[in-house]
Amino acid sequence: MFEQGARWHAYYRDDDPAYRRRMLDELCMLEPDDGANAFRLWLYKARYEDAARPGQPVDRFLFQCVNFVQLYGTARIFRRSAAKEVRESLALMGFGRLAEFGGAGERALYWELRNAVARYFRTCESPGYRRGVFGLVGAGESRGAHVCRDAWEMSLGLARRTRLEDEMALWNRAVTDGYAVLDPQAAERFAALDRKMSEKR
Amino acid sequence: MENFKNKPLIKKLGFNRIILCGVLILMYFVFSLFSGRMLGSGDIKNALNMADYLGFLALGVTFVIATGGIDFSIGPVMVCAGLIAGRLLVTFGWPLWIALIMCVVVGCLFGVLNGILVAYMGLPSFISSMASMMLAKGVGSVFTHVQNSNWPASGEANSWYKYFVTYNGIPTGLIFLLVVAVLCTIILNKTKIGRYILCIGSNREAVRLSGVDTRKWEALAYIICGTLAGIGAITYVGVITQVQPGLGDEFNNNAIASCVMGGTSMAGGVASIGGTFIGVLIISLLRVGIQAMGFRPDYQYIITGIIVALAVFADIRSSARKK
Repeated sequence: MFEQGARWHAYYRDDDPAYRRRMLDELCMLEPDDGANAFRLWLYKARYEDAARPGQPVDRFLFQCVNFVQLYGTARIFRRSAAKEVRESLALMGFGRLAEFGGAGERALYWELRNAVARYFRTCESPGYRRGVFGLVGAGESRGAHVCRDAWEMSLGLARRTRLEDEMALWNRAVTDGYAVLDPQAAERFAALDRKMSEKR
Repeated sequence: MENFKNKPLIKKLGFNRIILCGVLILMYFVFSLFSGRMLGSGDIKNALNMADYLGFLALGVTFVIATGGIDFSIGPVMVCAGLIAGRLLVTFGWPLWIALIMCVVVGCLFGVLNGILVAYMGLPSFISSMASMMLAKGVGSVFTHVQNSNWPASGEANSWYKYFVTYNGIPTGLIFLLVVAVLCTIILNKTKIGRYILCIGSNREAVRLSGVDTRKWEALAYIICGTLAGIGAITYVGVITQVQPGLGDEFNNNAIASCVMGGTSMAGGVASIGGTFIGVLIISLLRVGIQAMGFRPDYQYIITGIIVALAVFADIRSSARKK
């Protein structure tokens, strides 16, 4: 459903905002426009530029990954305000403009989200991620399970808690697909966690 | 049990918090049973007095633990603030209201110091807070020439600061603490400060790459913690009146135990102000209950030590079980 050409695939695999910008400009000139190039440029700006912090390197889509993990916890008590915040975040990530660009826009957004999610999962390999008691004990072998839980909470968990399954469908798909390619057991681990959490409901 | 846990109201309030409330009520009856008398208003008043200042420490350290750090200096900082402000009031004749503000200022300054050491200089919070704990003890002792700071007793001039603890039998200290706890809940759950603090505890690298100044927000957690320790000093002197130099370590364990018991994760990223508040009441009742049962207060250290170990163990076990 969301297949991309090889050149666009390379663009969505890269992490470096400056390099991605150069690639995006080149691809917009070289590749035939599927009707979503303007949206891709808009997504780039929405993600890497913040009017409140001009000139400062930002990644607002990456922040939504960690923000959604926190919102999952907040939504237990403040469901409505969490749902409102999720809607605002989705709008910031371009969900509100999908109707303008149709299927091509949806594909562009899906891959942009996949790129942000992949970047989030890479940060989970940093030494500071889930450091353990008093910041002294390494998380060790449970790190993989932590990442799985983060992926579930920021997608299906949050969508169910805020009752925004439909609005978050594309986001959820990007997260679950992005998590599934992390390692051979990832998809199975995610499905097992989802079953466990669904039973709890 | 699963059905009970899955009821919407129970899920909303949090099963762990309901269990904690149950433990609190159970403790009251167990202590009453074993002490041979129902714990009365005097015992409850003692417990609430302790809860007043311990509560501020626990609320503050909740912010630090939420970032994945720890602060072992809160107790000595509170005592140091009480010593310095007390000496300014009594020996140097500063007005009471300035002395009270100085309590908060001293706490805040230690928070700034911890924030700089941890967030900007990259020292492990475990080590840096140990260092500032010694510093707070030393500064308090040097400033008072190792003398007690005697705040005005009830009925004396300048004793209105005691209204922060009790006024005409009304436990104003508890009300004061409740108001601050509500503010902390709002800060932690509904503001950018709280969101960044929790996000840093959850995944610092992702927050940093998002363009957020993680050092600033982490330092702010320590400043909030220090400031609340300073506010705690106001209620501490309201309860104790005579502040002795070199004390304060024992409050660290109690405050940290309250946090972890209340559901704040030692790994960071998860914090519960409501849980911390109930944890504080449990620890305070524990001390009063032990005394009511005829044990010396020393036994409270043993029991608190066991509780801290069990609470951290339960935190690690429950994290592992979730996986």
